[in-house]
Amino acid sequence: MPEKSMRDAINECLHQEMERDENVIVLGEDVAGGMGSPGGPEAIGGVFSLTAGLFTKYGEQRVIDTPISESAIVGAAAGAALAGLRPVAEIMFTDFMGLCLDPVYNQGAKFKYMFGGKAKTPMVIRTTMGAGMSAAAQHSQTNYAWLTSIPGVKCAVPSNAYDAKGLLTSAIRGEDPVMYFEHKMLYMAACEVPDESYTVPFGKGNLTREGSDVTIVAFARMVHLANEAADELVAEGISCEVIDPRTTSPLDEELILESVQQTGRLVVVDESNPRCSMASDIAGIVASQAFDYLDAPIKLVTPPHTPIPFAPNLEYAYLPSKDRIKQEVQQVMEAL
Amino acid sequence: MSKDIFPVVMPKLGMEMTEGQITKWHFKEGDALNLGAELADIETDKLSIPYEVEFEGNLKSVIAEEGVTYPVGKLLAVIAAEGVTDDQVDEFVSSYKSVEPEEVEVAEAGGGYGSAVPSSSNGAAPAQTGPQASSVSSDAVRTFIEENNLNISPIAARLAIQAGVDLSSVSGTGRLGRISVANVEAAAGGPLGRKANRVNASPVAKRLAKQKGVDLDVIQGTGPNGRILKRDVEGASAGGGLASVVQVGPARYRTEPLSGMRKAIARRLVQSKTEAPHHYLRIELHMAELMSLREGINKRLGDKKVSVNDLLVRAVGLALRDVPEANVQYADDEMRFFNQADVGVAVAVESGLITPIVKGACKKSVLQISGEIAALAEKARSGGLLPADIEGGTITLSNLGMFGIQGFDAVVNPPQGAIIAVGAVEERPANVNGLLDLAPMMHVTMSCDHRAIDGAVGAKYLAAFKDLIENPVSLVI
Repeated sequence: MPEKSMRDAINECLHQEMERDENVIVLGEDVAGGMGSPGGPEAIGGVFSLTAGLFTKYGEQRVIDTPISESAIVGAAAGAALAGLRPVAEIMFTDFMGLCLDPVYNQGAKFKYMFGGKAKTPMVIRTTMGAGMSAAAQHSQTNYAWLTSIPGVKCAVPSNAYDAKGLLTSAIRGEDPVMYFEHKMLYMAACEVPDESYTVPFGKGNLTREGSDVTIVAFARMVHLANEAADELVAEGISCEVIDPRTTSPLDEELILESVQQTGRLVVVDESNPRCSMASDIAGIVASQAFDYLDAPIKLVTPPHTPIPFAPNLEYAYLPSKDRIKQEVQQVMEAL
Repeated sequence: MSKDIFPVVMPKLGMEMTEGQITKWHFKEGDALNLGAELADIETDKLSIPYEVEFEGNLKSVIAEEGVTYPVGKLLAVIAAEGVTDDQVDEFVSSYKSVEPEEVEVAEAGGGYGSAVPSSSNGAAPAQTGPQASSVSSDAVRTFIEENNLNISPIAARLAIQAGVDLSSVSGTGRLGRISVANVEAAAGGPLGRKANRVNASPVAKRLAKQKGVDLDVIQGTGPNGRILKRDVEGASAGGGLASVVQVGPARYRTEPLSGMRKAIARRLVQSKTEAPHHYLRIELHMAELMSLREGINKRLGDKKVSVNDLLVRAVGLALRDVPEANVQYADDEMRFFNQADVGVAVAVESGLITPIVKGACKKSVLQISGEIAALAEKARSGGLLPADIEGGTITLSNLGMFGIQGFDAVVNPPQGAIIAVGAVEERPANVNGLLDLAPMMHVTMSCDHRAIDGAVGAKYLAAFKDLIENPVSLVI
């Protein structure tokens, strides 16, 4: 099977879904890639090149380069979805979701419920997230927790190219609003990805490591750090099971509980700020539903409750690291 | 090359066999093997039989350890013809894929597990470079799921492989129809993996127990779900102030690993008592006629002797013929009606209990039945029973009369519909021709699986049984 980067896998998915269904449209800032530049459309290929080639192939009717207005993009997407299209909107940085929350939070998420199930909103909002490239406090956040907290919105946080393609395909073909988070630091991460279309279901987690002593739940880029920590801890005789939930809404609580019931210990690794986070959410679920299986306190590996620093050394200190994961795992192994 | 190399795998010796162990290897690596030689003894949860060599050659590699349980299809050893090198054998072993025991019903193609996952942010090595900490490797779990096309939680799959749980009739009620650990545990009849042996204690109780040197294993928890609470530990350390304290200090018992048979008894009887709603029908039989018939037969026979049990087995079989609606099994949500009467006979052996089947007991003479039971019991005690000897049957006769037991209630042996428990024949006050007098009497309890046999059917069956015993000439005509 060919290896592809997450960027190529997402681009391939967009091409295949636009080919498969003419109702699929793409809209966002510079999705045409170079509109207005001396070379014209496709000259540059978009800020992150995720939509490369779409404009040339499907034209301006279906690949809509928008003004710099997040609320216009998402508002148009929600309306297009109501009218029967399958829009894939791009918000360049998830940090800007505050500008366009209403069409997601109070409109798209509620249509089905407000109109007695008669309205569908098959809208996908692709957006980038994540720190690690010194992009400072306004272009580095991972705010999937607050979008996860909205009933009626699904959230995907793929950690690898295979899941990225499969989850995006599921999202585009589904009937509900989906927030689809792409971690900027993972765009070049490659793994085997089939050429043909396939889906990865929402709500089914993946075990990326199997182990018997500690369950580590991690999201997106944190999955890789957790895997590395788990691999190194083998030498210390500690066997970690790593769960990548893949989607935060719906969340595969069942798999997490099944694993914790076997290991008796839980460490959650989350790149988001710690308050009201996926980490605290999962800790709460496990504490209330698997209390009798715990052998140690639940540990959370998250950044501090502070904006993301710009200085590379501070940003490095801010982010969860492989070593911090190892330390927390070692601690829960020592606990009573 | 592969025709020169023969894999010895864990055989499937019966429909329900999912795992087995080698109790003894009779040869060692390098030995020459002739066809039919007894290579090893294999013990399943029901019986122990020799593995006979099916391929002539040299025993090149012994993989399975004695006393360890392996799933059906697992590579146990390799036999190779002359001229095969060790390297070739090693390559064969490392590339060998265990054959799954049987086709497993497919719930839904999952897609939940096994997707390619790079292990570093550079996107380098794939998932299989990870640690293989559990006794079943993640590769084995992945292969198992993919080959059987199962929609199953990978944790549930791992536990099912470890415990040898047959998934063919397990349906998934977990997330998106996925087979969950709870589904596998329901099929296995109890908690699996670490959950099976967990000490359920609150964190404060654990800390207190550690401080005070109290062994949590011997404390009965009084909290929800039997959770050991602070008060339970305090009670234990105060010297048994609470009734919940069983024992403090070193355990005063020895432990032995469970034999395959002990595990099977535990599993099957727990399954029976939890799944099969039992009801019990009791009668007392006049035995005078049968005792005198037996005396007459034995006088005629000379050396050979017919036991009361032989006559009872014959009666159990004939009564099944007379009341065919009781000749049933309940299994896999269907009723099975049988034409001939196959009767199980409970035989106590050194390490437990086994129930070989007398096939067609309604068509065989008492003498034939007597001979068969003797042969089966001998095979049971020497470990020579074959799968065919113990499979099937709709009813079992369990007799503790020889131990002086008056009467008892037995547990149905699934998937059979009923079990008949008989006590000793004793002189007891009874109604004899309208007068209170001493007469040889015998208690009988029929335990029925209510899913298969209702009270009225069971009563009709017992009436037929009683008639045969009290008018025993019908047993010999």
